[in-house]
Amino acid sequence: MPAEVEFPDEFGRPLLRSGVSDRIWALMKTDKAAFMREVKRYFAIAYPGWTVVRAKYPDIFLRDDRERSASVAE
Amino acid sequence: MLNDITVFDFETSGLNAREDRVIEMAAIRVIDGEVVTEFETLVRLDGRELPPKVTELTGIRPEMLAGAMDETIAFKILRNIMGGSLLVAHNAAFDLAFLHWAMQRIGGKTFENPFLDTMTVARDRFTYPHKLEDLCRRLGIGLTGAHRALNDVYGCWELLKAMHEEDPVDTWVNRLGYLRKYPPPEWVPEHAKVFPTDNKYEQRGAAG
Repeated sequence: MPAEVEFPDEFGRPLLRSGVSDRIWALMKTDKAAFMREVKRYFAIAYPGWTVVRAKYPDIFLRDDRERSASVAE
Repeated sequence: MLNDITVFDFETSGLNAREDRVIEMAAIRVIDGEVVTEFETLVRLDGRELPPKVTELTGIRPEMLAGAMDETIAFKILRNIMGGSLLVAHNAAFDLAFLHWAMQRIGGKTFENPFLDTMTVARDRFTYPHKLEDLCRRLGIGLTGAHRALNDVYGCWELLKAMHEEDPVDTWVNRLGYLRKYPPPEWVPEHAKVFPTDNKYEQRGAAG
């Protein structure tokens, strides 16, 4: 039996599991829009080219769009 | 033995596994040759300064760590991903020591996973140098952005596959070589078989 990919993307490859600080997670309960803004801002700095697709504590799942980002920039 | 492995890598704030901290970690769990989990995160440095030399080497800047994952959560996720798999790292003595001391700090525990050090294998098979980027270049493995954890993890995984294809590496499990001209690592897993080794160098002027 083939191994099962955890949290696959549309091509069956695993999404990248990553995360943010508890300070940012705390916003999820009080201000969801601010949480999303902070998460997007954080990953734009920390892992540019990766797109946030899902957030479920303690994981933030990212899709690898680095090649797409590079071709857009060219 | 190699049908269930976790290849992992740490970028750290310094070289002392007991005192310094992991600032980025990455891991892939590979079952029967397929990557089933991919994990990478920066780790918040609690009240510590990031040495400029580390930024120079890794490109990781202090502002990137400000909103990063807390250390305890990061190591809990990593341990969950690793499970009971074989741990694989390049220069594993370094990464295993950081893993041990973080686990000690967080929960007073350590790990018992078997491990494989690709640098120990490479020293036996190839001439100097044995840094991951050198070996990848030599074997035609693409490694862009060395010294960022996930890039190094994939480089290490490709290196392991190439060496295993050439000659199975199973006998290298739990063996940890260190350069004879230096002291042995300060901390190694209890199940490690530690031995001194020497670099091999290419013969110069052998031809003609």
